[in-house]
Amino acid sequence: MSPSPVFDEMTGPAGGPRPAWAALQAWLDSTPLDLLHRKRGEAEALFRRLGITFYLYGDGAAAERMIPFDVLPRILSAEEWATVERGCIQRVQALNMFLHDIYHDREILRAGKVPADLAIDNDAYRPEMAGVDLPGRVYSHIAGIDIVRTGPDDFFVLEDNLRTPSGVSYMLENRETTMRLFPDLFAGMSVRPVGSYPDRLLQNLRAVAPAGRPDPAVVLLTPGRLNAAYFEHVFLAEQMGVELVEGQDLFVDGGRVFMRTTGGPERVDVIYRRIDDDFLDPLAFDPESVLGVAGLLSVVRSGGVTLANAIGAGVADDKAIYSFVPEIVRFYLGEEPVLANVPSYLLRNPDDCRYVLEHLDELVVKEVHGSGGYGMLIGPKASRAEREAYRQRILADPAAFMAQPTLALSTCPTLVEDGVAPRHVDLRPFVLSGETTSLVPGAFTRVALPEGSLVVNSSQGGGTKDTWVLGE
Amino acid sequence: MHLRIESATTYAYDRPPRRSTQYLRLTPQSGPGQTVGNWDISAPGTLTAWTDMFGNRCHTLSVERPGPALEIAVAGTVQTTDTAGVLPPSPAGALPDTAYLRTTGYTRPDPGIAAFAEPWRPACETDRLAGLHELMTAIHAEVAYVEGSTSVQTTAGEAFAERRGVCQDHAHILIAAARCLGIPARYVSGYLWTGETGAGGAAFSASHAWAECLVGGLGWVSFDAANGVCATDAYVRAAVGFDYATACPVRGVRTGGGEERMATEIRLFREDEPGASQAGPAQQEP
Amino acid sequence: MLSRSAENLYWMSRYIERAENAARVLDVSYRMSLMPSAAPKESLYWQPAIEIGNDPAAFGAQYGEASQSNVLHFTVLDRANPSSVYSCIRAARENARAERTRISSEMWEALNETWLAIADLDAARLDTWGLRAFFDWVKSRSHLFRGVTVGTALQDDAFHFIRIGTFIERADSTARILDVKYHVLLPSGEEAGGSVDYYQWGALLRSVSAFRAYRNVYRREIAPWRVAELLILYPAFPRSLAACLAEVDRTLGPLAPSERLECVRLAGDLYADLRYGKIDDIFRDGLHEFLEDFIRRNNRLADRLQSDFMMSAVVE
Repeated sequence: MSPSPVFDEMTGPAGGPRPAWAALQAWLDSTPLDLLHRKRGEAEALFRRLGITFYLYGDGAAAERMIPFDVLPRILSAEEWATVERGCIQRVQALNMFLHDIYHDREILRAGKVPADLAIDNDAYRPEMAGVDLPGRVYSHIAGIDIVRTGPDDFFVLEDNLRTPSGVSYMLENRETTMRLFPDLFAGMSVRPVGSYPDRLLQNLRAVAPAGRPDPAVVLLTPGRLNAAYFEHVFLAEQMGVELVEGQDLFVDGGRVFMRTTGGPERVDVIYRRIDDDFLDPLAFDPESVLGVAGLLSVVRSGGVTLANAIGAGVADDKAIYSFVPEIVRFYLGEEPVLANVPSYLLRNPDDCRYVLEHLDELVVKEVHGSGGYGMLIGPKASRAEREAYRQRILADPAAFMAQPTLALSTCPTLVEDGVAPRHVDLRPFVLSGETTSLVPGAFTRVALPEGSLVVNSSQGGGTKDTWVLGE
Repeated sequence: MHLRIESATTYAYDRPPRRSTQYLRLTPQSGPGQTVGNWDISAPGTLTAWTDMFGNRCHTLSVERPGPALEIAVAGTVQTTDTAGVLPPSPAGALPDTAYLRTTGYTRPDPGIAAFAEPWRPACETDRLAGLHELMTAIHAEVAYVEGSTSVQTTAGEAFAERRGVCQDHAHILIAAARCLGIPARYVSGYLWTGETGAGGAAFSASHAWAECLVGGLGWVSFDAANGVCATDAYVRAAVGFDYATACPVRGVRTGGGEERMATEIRLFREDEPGASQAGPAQQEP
Repeated sequence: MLSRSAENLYWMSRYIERAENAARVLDVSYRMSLMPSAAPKESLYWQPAIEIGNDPAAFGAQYGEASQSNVLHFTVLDRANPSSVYSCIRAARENARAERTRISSEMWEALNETWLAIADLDAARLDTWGLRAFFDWVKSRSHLFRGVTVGTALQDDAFHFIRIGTFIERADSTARILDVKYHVLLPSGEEAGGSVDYYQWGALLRSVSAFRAYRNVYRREIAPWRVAELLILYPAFPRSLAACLAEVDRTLGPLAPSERLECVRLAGDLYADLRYGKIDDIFRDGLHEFLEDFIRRNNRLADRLQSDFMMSAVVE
C-alpha cells in the first residue's frame, strides 16, 4: 500500500491499533465476516421496523428511505472527546453572545472585529429580532457543530449549524442498535451513555421559558409528515413527552400562544421549532406560509413565548461569518479557540482573492451565501475549462465567494461488501444551551460509503455510525 | 394643526372564517412634529399591544369565529407642527441605519429604477439633501399619480415601468432609488390632511404613504414623491417600515371561511380653525 | 389531547367502519343478484348500494347505469370517490400514520397491512380475489382492527374518540341501509306485513349481521316491523341505532366532565328518543321520515363533536 496522507483513526503510528481502538481491533480479528454481514442485516430489519426513515423527493412522489447504518462503531478516546467538548462549548457560548450583541448594541461591529455589512446585510439577519431580550440570552439552544479530522490532534470545525440541526435521533437510535447487536463488545469498553439527551434537552428548553412560568409547557413544532426529518420530530417529542404540533394546532391570543386541545386552549411556553424562520409567521415573514402561526412574532417580541432556536440565529452560521468565529471567540471570551476553523479565504479581501485565483486547482470555492453545495468549484476535480469559467464568475463579483483547501478527512473501519475497509467520516456533536451549555458524550457520525468518496451527505450515499466516547 | 382622525376598516365574509389574526399599525406615537391625544382602537376579539422592530406601536388582533363581518375602528386626535420634514436620527439601540438599505419584495431595485436614479449619485454625494430633493422632484414628474392604476401588491419596479401609480408606489420607487444610491430609506404610512389642497382636483385620499431618507447631520428627512414635497404639519405619521408590507396599517390572516371583502373609510377633521371643513369620507388606496 | 389528534383518530375509525359497511352492502347486492329469481335488470340489485352511499349524484354523473361493474368500480376501486373501499382504507391508514405515537403498534400494523394488501387493487385483481372473498376480507380486517384496538389501546381520551368515530359512522350506515332497503322492498302502497320476499329480508338482516340475532330475539317469521325494531331500538344488538347512540352517549361522559357541551346534549337527546321510542309510533309517523330525521340529527351531532373538540370550522 502506498503511503497516504489520509489519517485512519484506528491505526496507530506503528501500524497497530491506537489504544482506544485496541479492543475493537481484537474483536474484529476474532469475528468472522459473515457474522458482521448478518448483524448488518439484523440492524436493517430493526431500523425498518422502527420506521427510522427520511423522505427523499424525486419523480414527483415522496419516497421513504433509510440512511444506511454501518455496524462498526467509531471510537473517540476520553482525551479526544475532552477537546471536542471543550471546543464546542466555547464556540457555542461565543456564538450565542455574538447573536445577542448583533441584535442589541453591536459592539463587535463597532470594534471592527466583524465587518458590519456581513452581519447586518445578511439575509439571515432578522431585523425583527432587534432589541428583543431572550431568556438566558440564548439564541441557539440546539447547535450541531460539524467537525472533521485530519490527524491525531487535528480537529477542524467545518460548519456551525445553529438553526434547526437534525441527526440527533440517529445518535440515539444507533446506540440502541449497537448495544443490541454487540452486547459483549459494548460491555467490555466503558462507553459513556448518550440516552439522557432527551431529558437534557427538555430541561434546557424548560429553563428558557418566559419568566413566571413555574411549570412551563414545551411543544415541538413540525412542518408535518412530508418533512425529511419527520421521524426525528416524532422521536424527540415522544422521548421528551411533549406534544408534537403543527402550525394549525397553535394560535395567538392576548400576547400568548395556545394549542387547541379537546379540553380547550392550553398555553404554550416554549416552542422547539423544526421549521425555518421564513415560515414561522405569515404576518411577518412569508405570507404564503401555512406551516407557521399567525401573530407568533408579536408574542416572541413581547416575551410571551420562547422559540428554540431563536428567529435569526442563522446569521451566525453563515459561511461569511464562519471565518470570523475565531475572532468572535476571542472577542467575547478572551480565550484562544480550542477548535480551529478550516482555513478560509474571503475573496472580498484582495490578497485572498489573488491567492485563490492563483491556486484554483487546489481549492474548493463556494458562494458565500449559497447552501447545499450548489454553485461550488472543487478545484482538483474540475476541468481546466470549468476552472476558467469559474474564474470569470469570481472576477465579476469577488465578494460573493470564499475558498477553502480540500481536506483529507480521516477514515474509520467500515463494513463494506468485501470486508472491512477505511471510509471517510465527519462528526456532528449536539450542543445544548439553556441554563448552561453542555453536550452528551456522543455525536452523529456520517460516513461516505463509496470508496474514496468524501461526501458524507445522506442524499449522496452517506451512511451513519454509532460514536463511542470512552470513559476515563 | 389640530386634527381629529377617525377610521373604520370593515371585513365582510361570504362564509365566516374560524379565526382571524391581524397585525395593526394604527397608533401614531407622540414625537417630534406630532403629539397624540386620546387615541382609541376598538375591535371585537382580543387586542394586544406590542412594539415592532421599528418602534411602531402595534396591536395583534385575534378574533375567534368573527361572524359575517368584522370592524376595526380607530379614533383620536393629533397636534402637529411643521418640522420642515426633518426628524432626528434613530435613537441608540434602534435598528441599525444600514438595515434600511435592505432590498425587499416591494422595493427591489430593478434596472429601470437603478438607471433612472444613477444621474443623481454625484449630487447626493456632494449634498445629499439637495440631491434627494431633485430625485424626488424627478420621480414626481416621471411617474403619474393615477388612482386605481396599481394594487397593494404592485412593486416599485412594476409601477415605475408603467410610469404611474398611487402614493404607495411613489414611496416604493423613491425608496428603491435611494437604496440604489446607498442611502438608507424607509416607508411611512400615515394620514394627510387634504382639506385645503384640493387645487387641480388632486384626489389624494386621507390615508397616505411617503418615504423618509437618512441625511447625515440632519436625520430622517421626509419626501412625498406623490406630491413632490416634504412633509408638513398636514402629515401624521402612523408607522414606518422597510416597505408597505412592514408598515401597512392592517395585515391579516384568516383560517377557514370563504372570500373576504375589505373596505376602509377614513375621516379627518381639522379642529383648530373656526368652521374647519371635513375631508372625506375617502376609500383607502395607499 | 391535541384537537388535531382527536380528529385524526376519530376519522381513522370512521373510515374503517365505512369500508366495512360498504362491503356489507355490496355483499348483499351481490348475493341477491345471484338469486334464481333475479330480476331482468341488474341495476335493481346494485342501485341500492349507490343510494346508501354518501354521494349518489357523483355516481350518476360519472357512470350512468348502475351495472354491477360500474357500481363495483365506483364503490370499491374508485380513487376519486372518497367513500370507496379503497379510499376509506387509504384515509384510515393515513390518519393512523399521523398518530402513530398515540396508537399501539399492533393497531398501526393491522391498518398498514390492510392498506398494503389493496394499495394496487384494480378490477382484474378484484376479480381474481373473488367478490365474496374480498368483502369477507374487508369485514374481517375491520373486525381485527376493532379487536386490536380494544385489546391493546390505552383507554384514554384517544381511545374514546376512536370509539365515538366507530359508532357515529355505524349508526349512520345502519340507518341508511334500513331506509334504502326498506324503500326497495316495500314499494309505496304495499301494506307492511304483506307479501315479502323471505330471501330479501334475510339478505337485509345478513347485511348487518342480524340474521341470527333476529331469530334469537323474536323466534318468529321475518316481519318488516320487527326487522325495523331490531335495527332501530333493540339495545342489545350492537349495530342498532340505540346501541350505537348508547355507546356515544356513554363515551362522551368522561371526555366532557366539566362543561355542558352542546354535543353532549345532542347525543343525550338523540339517545333518549331511541331508548324510550316505540316501533308502533315510528311506523305511525312514517319509517322513512323517522330515518331521515335520525340521519340528519346524527350528522348534526357529528358536526358538533368536531366543533366542540376538534379542528374543523362548522358553518352554522
